[in-house]
Amino acid sequence: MSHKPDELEKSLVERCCSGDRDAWDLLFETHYPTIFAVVSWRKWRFRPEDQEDIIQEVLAEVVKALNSFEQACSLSTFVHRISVNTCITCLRRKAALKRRSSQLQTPLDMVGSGDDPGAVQLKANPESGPEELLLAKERVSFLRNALAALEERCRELITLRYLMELSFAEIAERTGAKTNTLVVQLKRCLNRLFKMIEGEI
Amino acid sequence: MGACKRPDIAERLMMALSPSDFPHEAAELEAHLKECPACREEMKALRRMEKFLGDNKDLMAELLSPCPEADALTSFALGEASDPSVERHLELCIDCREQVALIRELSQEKLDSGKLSASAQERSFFHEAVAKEYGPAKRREARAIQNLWETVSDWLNIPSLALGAAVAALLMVFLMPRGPEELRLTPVLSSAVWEKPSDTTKGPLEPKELLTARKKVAVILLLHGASEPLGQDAEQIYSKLEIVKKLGAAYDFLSPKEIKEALAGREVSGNLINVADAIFDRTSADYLLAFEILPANAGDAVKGTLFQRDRKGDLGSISQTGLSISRIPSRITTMGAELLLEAEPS
Repeated sequence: MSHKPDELEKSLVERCCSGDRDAWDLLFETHYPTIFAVVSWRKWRFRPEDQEDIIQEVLAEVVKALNSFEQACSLSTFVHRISVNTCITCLRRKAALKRRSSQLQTPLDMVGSGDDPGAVQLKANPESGPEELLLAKERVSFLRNALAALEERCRELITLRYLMELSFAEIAERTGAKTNTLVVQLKRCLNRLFKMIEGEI
Repeated sequence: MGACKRPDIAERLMMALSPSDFPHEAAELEAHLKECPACREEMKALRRMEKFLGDNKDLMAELLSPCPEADALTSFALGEASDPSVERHLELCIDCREQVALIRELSQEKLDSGKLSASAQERSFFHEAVAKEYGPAKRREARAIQNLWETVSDWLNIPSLALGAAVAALLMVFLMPRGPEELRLTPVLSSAVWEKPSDTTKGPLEPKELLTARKKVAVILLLHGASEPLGQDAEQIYSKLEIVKKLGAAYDFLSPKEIKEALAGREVSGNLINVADAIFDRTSADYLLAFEILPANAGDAVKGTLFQRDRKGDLGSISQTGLSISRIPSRITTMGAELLLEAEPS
């Protein structure tokens, strides 16, 4: 599957990149069946009308990416890979659209809960106006920047502890660090994050 | 409120938040907390953070562990690359787990095209795509970008000449030996005064000038570890940068005022993307070239990064391409790569 391109393929790519229309036609005829086969694979569950759009996306990507074809694999592997990646992107787009439409029905609002100023959460509020939504968006953007400013180690520890909800012993097993070290590191990470977002939470 | 007198205990406060993980330490910590107002205050902050993280788990997952790019996921699924961050992400993301399973299943299938020839519409679309990517307009655009990159790489290949003795002296003064986690980025200069290339008083514009007239580049120089902007000294350094002189011949630059306004009040610490975000958000820049002067022990002394405004999507609106001092990477996988790959001679 990943064998290197032969001389014919190399020459075809060069001709394409220099703008030879016959070469592009040959590339199209040779590799169109691969694109079609990948995109129309039944398990993606794309509708036929979507498949047409996705095939066009793959074609555009192949044209765009041919300049960067590194000859580390054959042209058919290259085209197959672009087809798979495009299908994945389309699956994600579909899922995002679905999520967005459900969010539109229940807009996001940043709401503090009562006496505890720490309990800021994203809460569905059907009465949220555009200003509240904008505020929520800005706060999310602020949080994104704060997290990006943390060290990779901190992001990893917060992910393991608070998203994957692992115990310190489990984190120690995964990372090879001692639990005593982990509690010290995680405390520093939380303190750093707290300093950055204190005004926002 | 005085400082904690038992820093050895203060360091382990997290144990008090997870008594089931540390049953033997709980009593000692509780006793200490009763006596130490500083630690009680710190515990409050830690509890707030824990609660915030718990209340916003979905959002945190999205921000801390975003879905890998499609190609990275495919690589992982096919066993071409093992990336711990992708593995962690898969534990959190059902969608990506399903996608990995699909990719693996597809790789085992013998596909039958069923349709050997394309429709006239698909052919026509393909020809249009080729014309768009390889037609005369695109070739001109690629040449313009290539000029930019050639200039950048020229400069990066001769760092000592480009930076000059002034920078070396400043590095010695301002770069304190600190741990990597304490490094800070400080923008020391935003731009300089440029003689714009599109000066119509000098006669008709050259084709290259016409081509690049709409491209705006912001150039900034950042020092890792410096705590204060360098003021006038920075202006002098900047004026010595060959790259800046060369780019000035082909690109329109943002004024210092525009960039300073864009950066005003922005926390830059350790996060160059913040700078790019601010500049793209508040100015008309198309590209941002950021040069970071790194500590001597960081390997390469200068790191150049090109950011490009991406008008395609709502999210991830900036693409980033890294350069090292000694080479332009030959293989880049981010979206920003397109810019560089287009620019590289075929």
